[in-house]
Amino acid sequence: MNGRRDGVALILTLFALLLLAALAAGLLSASVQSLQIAESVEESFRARTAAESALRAAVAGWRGGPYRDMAIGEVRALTVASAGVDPNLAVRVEAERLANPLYLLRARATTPRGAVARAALVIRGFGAAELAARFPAALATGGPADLRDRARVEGFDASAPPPSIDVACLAAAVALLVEAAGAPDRPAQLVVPVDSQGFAGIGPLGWDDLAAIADRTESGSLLLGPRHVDGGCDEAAAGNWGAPLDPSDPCAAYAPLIFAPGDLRILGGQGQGILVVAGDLRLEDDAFFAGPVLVGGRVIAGDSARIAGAIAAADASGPTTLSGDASVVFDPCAILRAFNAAPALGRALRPGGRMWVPAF
Amino acid sequence: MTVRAGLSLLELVVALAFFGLVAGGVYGSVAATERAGRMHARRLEVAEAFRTTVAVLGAEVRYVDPAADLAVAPDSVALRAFRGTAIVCGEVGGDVRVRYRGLRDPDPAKDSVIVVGALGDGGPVALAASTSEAQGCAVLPGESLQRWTLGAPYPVGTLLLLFESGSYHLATGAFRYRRGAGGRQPITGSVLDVGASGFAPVPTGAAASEEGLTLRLTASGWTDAASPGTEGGAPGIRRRLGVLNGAGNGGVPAKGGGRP
Repeated sequence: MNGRRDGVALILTLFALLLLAALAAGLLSASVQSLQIAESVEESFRARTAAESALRAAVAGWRGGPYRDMAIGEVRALTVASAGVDPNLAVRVEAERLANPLYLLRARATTPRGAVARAALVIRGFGAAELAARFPAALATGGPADLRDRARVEGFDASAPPPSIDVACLAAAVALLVEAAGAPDRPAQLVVPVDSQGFAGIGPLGWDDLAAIADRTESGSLLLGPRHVDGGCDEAAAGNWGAPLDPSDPCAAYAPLIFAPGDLRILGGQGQGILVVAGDLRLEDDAFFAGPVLVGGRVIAGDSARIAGAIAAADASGPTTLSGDASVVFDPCAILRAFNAAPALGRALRPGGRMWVPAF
Repeated sequence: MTVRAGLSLLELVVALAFFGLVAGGVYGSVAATERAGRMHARRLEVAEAFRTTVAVLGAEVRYVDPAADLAVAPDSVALRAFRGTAIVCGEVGGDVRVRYRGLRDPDPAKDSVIVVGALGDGGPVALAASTSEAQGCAVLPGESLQRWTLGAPYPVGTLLLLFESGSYHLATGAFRYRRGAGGRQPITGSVLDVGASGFAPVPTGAAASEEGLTLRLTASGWTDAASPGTEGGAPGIRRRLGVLNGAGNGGVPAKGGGRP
């Protein structure tokens, strides 16, 4: 006996262990692959959510004023509120001015692991020209207006603008009028068929939309005048429609979109903005308003009431009547200023059917 | 004379019995592991098919206008599959010069264009021709300059969406894509029970945030009744694929809204 024993148990055992190890490795590999796919999906989801959230934040914080002067094709980076956007992701948002006046907002989000997602949406701003087109004369009415006493209505002659016009804005205002109607001059009075679209709203905004987005909703009787709080303009105060007659007033730049669902009576004082009255508008005493005025009923102005801007009145309840020393003077600067300053018209509005567009 | 040791019959029987026990155990372990591996691989294949279907279809429908771009049937979803966007930056000989970016180059044989209008609306127009341009407009990173023939010029700054008409199907065991009138090309493996799978539009009246379509997928040939799942023991999923451009989108109304 040489002490050496033949056997296969060890070899068989090693072989079996090797086989089991190979199978286990295969399972592990598949599991790891599955995990990586799941992580990749999660990363993509995070990136996409961040990009879309950033765009929603950009829309919520959009104020049209700074972007109105963008040239078509111009691209600007946007700073969006960080709330709601994952702080661990790098998110970049930019706006490009399109035609019409649309803006394309694009967002790109990158996760720490390098996953990238893009999102884009189209928002709509307002062009002053499309709004101004609804005010073709100093006084556009659904029927012949009734002018009494010393009441006067003055159109606009670009070659001989009235002295009350702010010279600094004249060039831009004339350009607005040309863009809106092809010519700068505006007649004093114009009768517009009521069944046309002449009184259907302002620009693309119908009456319901004007009511929905208005900065202020008013009714009854009001005495206008700027109101202040802590040295600033108290925009929430009753009767505060800005200060068109005092450029140094804290409320000089405040020009809201005002909507009155019924009749409205202005007892006096000054105000500016865009005034939309579904019923009748009555102006008394020294009431002064600067900006465009759209009225579903009729306008009754007496005493020394003044409008510097334009009136479009459907005269649904009777003819518009101006008496005493009341006056309406077409003022393109006041109209342009109101369209540019009204907070309601600075918001980002969502186009009807297609807001989100694919991003590549 | 030399005495040599030998195996007794008893030793042989014990050895064989012991070997049989060990071999049986090893075989059982290997077989069980191999079975688990196959099951795992199959589950992975099914999960991959589910994931791919959800990802592909979810990405396609997320930015469509459901009223204009999407039609849902029980076994198919027809849609405008967007492949690129372009912005008009100039006019050249009645054509438009555009800054383009997309998944692939435009192909007039199969692509059309949606012209996004002032209200975000706009209908499709045919893309008659497209060629690359070397110069004419400044492009941004990721964009290329192209000349498109659309039958009419469009103002600078007009947004154009390039799309192909396609449809996604659940047929012969797989999730498939059909471009135009072409064949249905498989996107996933043949692991789906198409009879128990399908699409459904979100019911009318659903909240805007819920608009989209519902996708139901079930794996085919699954005999392991003990397997967790939603459809007769087979793995299955239900997903709602959201559409962002729902009817509750709000926004600017059509021109000349009604009087109060």
